[in-house]
Amino acid sequence: MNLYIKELMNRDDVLTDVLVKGELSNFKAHSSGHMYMSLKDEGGVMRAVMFRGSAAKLKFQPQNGMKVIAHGRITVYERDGQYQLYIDDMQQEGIGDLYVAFEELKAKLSKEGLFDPMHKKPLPKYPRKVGVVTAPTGAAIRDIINVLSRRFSYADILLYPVLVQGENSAQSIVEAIRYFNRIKGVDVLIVGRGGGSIEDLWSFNEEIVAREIFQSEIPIVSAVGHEIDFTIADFVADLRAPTPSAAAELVVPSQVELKEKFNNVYSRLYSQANRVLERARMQVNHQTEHPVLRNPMMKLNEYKIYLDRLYQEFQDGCCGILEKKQQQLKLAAAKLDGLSPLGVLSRGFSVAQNEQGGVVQSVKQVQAGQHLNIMVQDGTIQAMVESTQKNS
Amino acid sequence: MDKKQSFESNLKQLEEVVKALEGNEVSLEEMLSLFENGIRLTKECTTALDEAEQKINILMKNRDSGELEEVPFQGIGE
Repeated sequence: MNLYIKELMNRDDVLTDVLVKGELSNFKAHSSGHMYMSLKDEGGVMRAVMFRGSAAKLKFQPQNGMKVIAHGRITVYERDGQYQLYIDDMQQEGIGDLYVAFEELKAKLSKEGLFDPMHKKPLPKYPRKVGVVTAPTGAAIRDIINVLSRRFSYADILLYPVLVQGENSAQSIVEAIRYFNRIKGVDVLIVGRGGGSIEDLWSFNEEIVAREIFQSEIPIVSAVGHEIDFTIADFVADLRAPTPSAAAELVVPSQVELKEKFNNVYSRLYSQANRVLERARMQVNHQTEHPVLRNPMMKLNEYKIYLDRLYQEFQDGCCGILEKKQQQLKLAAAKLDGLSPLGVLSRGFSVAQNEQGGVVQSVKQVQAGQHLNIMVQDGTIQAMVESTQKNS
Repeated sequence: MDKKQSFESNLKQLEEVVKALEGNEVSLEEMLSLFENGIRLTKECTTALDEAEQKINILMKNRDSGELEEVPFQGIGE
């Protein structure tokens, strides 16, 4: 029966999403981290529980007699046959009024589709200019500038100073976002402020700010308060950053990583160039088996030397993580050299050519009295055939 | 050309060069010119990053015109 009642209650839209206002009594914080309490007003009393996960996020220490607003669902604890409020969030009253306004606006804008993922714009990969909407003093702007300078000094920064709390702050944030969209000079916007109380952060929960963020054609990263603070602006923004520093990390790439990427691309360039060279070498090798022993390897070696030089130039101007490659290259170059006809000559062999440049490979190719050019390591010898003798 | 515009297009070109090199029918001459081109682009991108001078500006109202204008931001001192 308890189970049946529980299921009935779970199906009820009101009971599964309620805000209950009341005074705390019988409050008990159990060693397990769960909190047990009652909420009462002049008219009645209700039992409530707040489990460890939610209780840990509370920003105040609940006490008996405290006036609170609790959010949660009402259902049956089967074992006792008792219904109770399962609280997932709780605020002190006063602050509680803001909390109600927050929940109501969130529900309204969500229903209108302002938070839908389909409206989220992608951030530019390499922004040239980052717009920042925040206070001109304080930790937030300092953190943002520090991170942007360290990470990607390629991007310029333009700050639109705004009031981030108090009267007119929402209006000033709206004007800033509108300004950037009118001048179209920046590629991405960071909108936010450092940590504070719920009242301090309130302008980022205002409907006009939410709607302006939604309408912005420039992608917006929200950065309000600390990691645990969620504002309406966070839900509408194209991306929510947990802190202002994190927002700066999110909007630009890391210069160091980019350089690594260049080096990778460079390695690919280099290995592909070597592959083409290797293929040419194979072809030459194949040809040297033919009688015409001209000197195509020369050209190939020139290429190799040229590649080496370009490579060296590049490395001189760069970070030098490619030294291993350089070694491989030298090794390959040495191998190529060994295959060159010049290399053969340096080992004491010579090549005889007739006057037309044809390589003499057989006694049958020459006659007594004929002139020959004999190529040796350091030059050419002009000679005349006296006689020929065939190997027996 | 705007230096800052060339950065992204250089990166794109670089990718294309590598892709072309990875193709099968590249002659030695083509290879060389692609390789040269690739090195040049890599250098340009690296230099662009190294030499970029980050401008940090704040928008202030001009006293005469009342219009917002960019002026260097100096408020980051501790």
